[in-house]
Amino acid sequence: MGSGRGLTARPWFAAIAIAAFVAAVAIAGFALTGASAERAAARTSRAVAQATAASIDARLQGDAAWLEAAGRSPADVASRADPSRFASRDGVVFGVASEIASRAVPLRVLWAAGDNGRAFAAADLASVPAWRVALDVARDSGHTAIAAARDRAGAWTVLQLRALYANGIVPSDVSARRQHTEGFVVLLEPSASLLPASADDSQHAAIRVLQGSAVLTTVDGAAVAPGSEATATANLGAWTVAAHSTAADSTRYVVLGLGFLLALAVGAVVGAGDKSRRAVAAAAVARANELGLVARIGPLLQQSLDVADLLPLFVVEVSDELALESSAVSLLNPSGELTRAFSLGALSSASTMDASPLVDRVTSVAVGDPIAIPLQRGGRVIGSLTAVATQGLGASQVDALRAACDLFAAALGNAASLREERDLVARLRELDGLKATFLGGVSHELRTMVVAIEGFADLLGTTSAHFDESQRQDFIERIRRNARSLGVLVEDLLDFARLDSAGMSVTLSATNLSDLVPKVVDQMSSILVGRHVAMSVSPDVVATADPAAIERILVNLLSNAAKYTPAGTDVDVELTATGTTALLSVADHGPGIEPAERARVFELFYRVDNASARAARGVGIGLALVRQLTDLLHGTITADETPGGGARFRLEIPLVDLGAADNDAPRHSASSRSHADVQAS
Amino acid sequence: MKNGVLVVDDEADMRVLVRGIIDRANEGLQVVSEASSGKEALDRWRETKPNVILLDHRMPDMTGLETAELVLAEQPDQHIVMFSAYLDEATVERAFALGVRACLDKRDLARIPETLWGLGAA
Repeated sequence: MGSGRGLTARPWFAAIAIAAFVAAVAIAGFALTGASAERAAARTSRAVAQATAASIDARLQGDAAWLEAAGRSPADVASRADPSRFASRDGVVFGVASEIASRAVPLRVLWAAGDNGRAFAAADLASVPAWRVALDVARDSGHTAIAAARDRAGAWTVLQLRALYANGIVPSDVSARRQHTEGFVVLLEPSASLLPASADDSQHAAIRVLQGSAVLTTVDGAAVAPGSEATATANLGAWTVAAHSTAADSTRYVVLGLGFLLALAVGAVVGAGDKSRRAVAAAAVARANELGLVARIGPLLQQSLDVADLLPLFVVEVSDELALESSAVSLLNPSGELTRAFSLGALSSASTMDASPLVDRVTSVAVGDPIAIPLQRGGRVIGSLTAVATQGLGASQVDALRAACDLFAAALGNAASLREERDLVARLRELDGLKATFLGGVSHELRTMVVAIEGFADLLGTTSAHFDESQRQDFIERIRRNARSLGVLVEDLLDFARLDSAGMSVTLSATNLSDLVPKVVDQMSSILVGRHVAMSVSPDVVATADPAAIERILVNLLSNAAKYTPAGTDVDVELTATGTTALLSVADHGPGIEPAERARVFELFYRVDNASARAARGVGIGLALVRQLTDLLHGTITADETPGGGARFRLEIPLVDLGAADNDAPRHSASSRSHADVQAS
Repeated sequence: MKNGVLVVDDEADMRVLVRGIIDRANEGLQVVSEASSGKEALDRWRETKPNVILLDHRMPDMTGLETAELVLAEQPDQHIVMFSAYLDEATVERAFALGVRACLDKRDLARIPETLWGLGAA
C-alpha cells in the first residue's frame, strides 16, 4: 500500500511549503510595493519642488513688474504706489530709499503689513553686504534686483528693489545710470512669504528653499531625509527648492502583514485539509483492505470442495489479514456438539470459548482480546471461528470478518452437500450394478430349475423300459428338490417385491424354537442332499418370535449353506439359550466370507465376490430378507467364521420373559421401512 | 461302436438329466464320462476319448468356452456341443469361431440326441 505515502506521510510538509510560498510572495509584494512607493514619492517630490519653484518665480516676477510700475521718482512712488497688493503678505515692508553721500541707504517706510515697519524704519540697506550687492546691481542694470540675507535678528529677509533715475528715464549705460540714480523703490519681506501656506497638506512634502546650502525657509520643516529629494531653481538659478515626500506609506506594511496572515491561514487550511485527507485516505485504505479480504476469501474458498482443504485456507488467510492468533474452527458434529476441526498456532484460552454462547453483536475488539464468530448457514449455526486479536479489531474489521465467515459457512455447506451427493451417486451406481447382476442371476436360476423339473418329468413320462425304479425315484426326488428351491426363490422374489412397497410384518408370540428348528431342517433335506446337517438343539428354548419368520430365516440360511458348500461337507445347526437370548447359528465349511464383506452380505443384491460365488446359485436377496426379518423380531444377525473355515451366521432373539403376564398374547410388529432403508441398515 | 459322449456340467441335476435323455434316445449314443468342471473335463476327455463333448458354458473355474478352446487347440476336429441356460449372440459367435460344432439352449435339451446324430453322420 504505497500509494498513500510520499507527500502525505510527512504531516505538515505540504502546509509548510504552501505557507512559505505565500510568505515569499508577501515579502516580494512588500518589496515591490516599497519600490513603487519610493518611485511615487520621488515623482511627488519633484513635482512639488517644480511647482513651488514655479510659484516663487511667478511671484517674484509679479513683484518685479509692480516695482517697475510703481513710479519714476521717489516722490512719485510715495504718492502713487498702491501697495494693497501686499495686504495678505505678512511682514511686507514697502518703502523708498535714497543714497546719501556716505553711501548709506536709509529706508523710508511708506507702508508695512504687520509690525515689521518699525524694525526697518530708517534701516540702512547698505549695511547688509548682500543688499549692498543688490543695490549696486539694481543701479547698474536698471532692473529689479533680489537678495536674501539675515537681518539683525537672524531671520531671513528677502529684499527686492529697483533703482529710480532722474527724470524717470533709465540711462543707457552703466556709468550714466550710476550718475543719475535718485533712489530706490524697495520691498522687504520675510523669506517665509516665499512659500505658499503650509496648511495644504495634501502634497505630503517637506519643502526647503535654499540659497546655496543656507535654508531660507521651510514648510513642514522636519529634518529632511535624503533619497527622495527633487530640486527646482527659482529666481534665475540663485535659489533651489527642495521637496521631500513625507507620505507615510504604510501600504506595503499592510501588504506584508496581510501576506503573513494569509500564509498562516493558508498553511492552517492546507494542513487541516491535508490531515483530513490523510484520515479519509487511511480510512479508505482500511476499508479497501477489508473488502479485499472478503473479495479474496470468495475465490479462495472456490478452489476446493473438500472441507479438509477449506479449513486451513480460510483460517490462514483470515489470521494473516487481521493479525489473529490461536485461530481455530469448530464444527457441529452429527450429535450436535461443537468439536474442534482445525486450529492454527498454540491454543490459548480461546479453546474454552467452545462452550460459551457465541456473541453475535460484538462491534469491536480490544488489543489482545478473544473473539468468537458463529458460522451460520440458513439461520442455523454450523460451527464457530475463535481467535485472539493481537492488534485488536475495529468495527469495520469485525464486519469484514463476519462477512468472510458467512462465505466460509456457505462453502462448508456446499462441501457437505457435494459430499452427500457424491455418496448418493456412488450408492445409486452400485445399486444399478447390483440390479443388473440380480436380473442376470434370476434368469439363470429360474431357467435352471424349470429346465430340471420339466426335463425329469419328461423322462418320467417315457415308457418304463429305460429307467428302473430307483432311477425313477431319483428323478422324482430331483424334481421335488428343484421345485422346493424354486419355491424358495419365488418367496424371496415376492418378499423383495414387498420390500419395495408396503413392507413386511411379523406377529410375535412365544415360539418354541427347539421344536421348530428340527422341523425346518427336515423340510430342507432335499435341498441339502449330499450335505450332512449336524444339529445341536437345546431343549425348551422358547423365544418371542414369529414362527413363519424364523422358518424363512432358517430356510434362507440353509439354502445359502447348500449353495456355498461342496457336497460331502457338514452344515452345523446349533440352538442354545444364554441369559435372556436365544442363539441360533448355521455354519458351513465352505470358502467362508472375507472379514471386510461380513457386514455387507446382508445388503440387498450384495453377493460375495469370489469364484464359487460368481457361478453359484442365488440372487443376493436372501440375506437381506434375513436381516429385515431379524430386525422385526428385535433380534440381531451376524456373520463370522466357522472355526476351521467356513461361513457362520448367528441369529439372536429375545427369549420369552416368563414373568410377564401376557407373554402368550401375540404381539404385532410391523415394518414400514422401504427398500432403501433395508439397504441402509 | 456307440458314439461316446462326455457330459460336462457343474450341476448334478443337469448331468443326470442329460444322461437320462441320451440313454432314452439309445441310438448309438452313450455317456462315457461326466465332469463337473472344466479341469475335470480335460482329464476325462483325455482318459475316455469321447466322440462328442457336451459342454455347459456357465461353470465356476473355467467357462465352457475356455475349456473348448483348450480342447480344440489340442485336437481341432473334436466334436463339441455347447449348451447353457442363456446363450447370447456374442458367446455363440465366439464358440463357432473356435470350432464348436453346435450351441444349444438348455430349454432345448430334448434335441440333444438329434444334434449328436447330426454330428455323427457328418
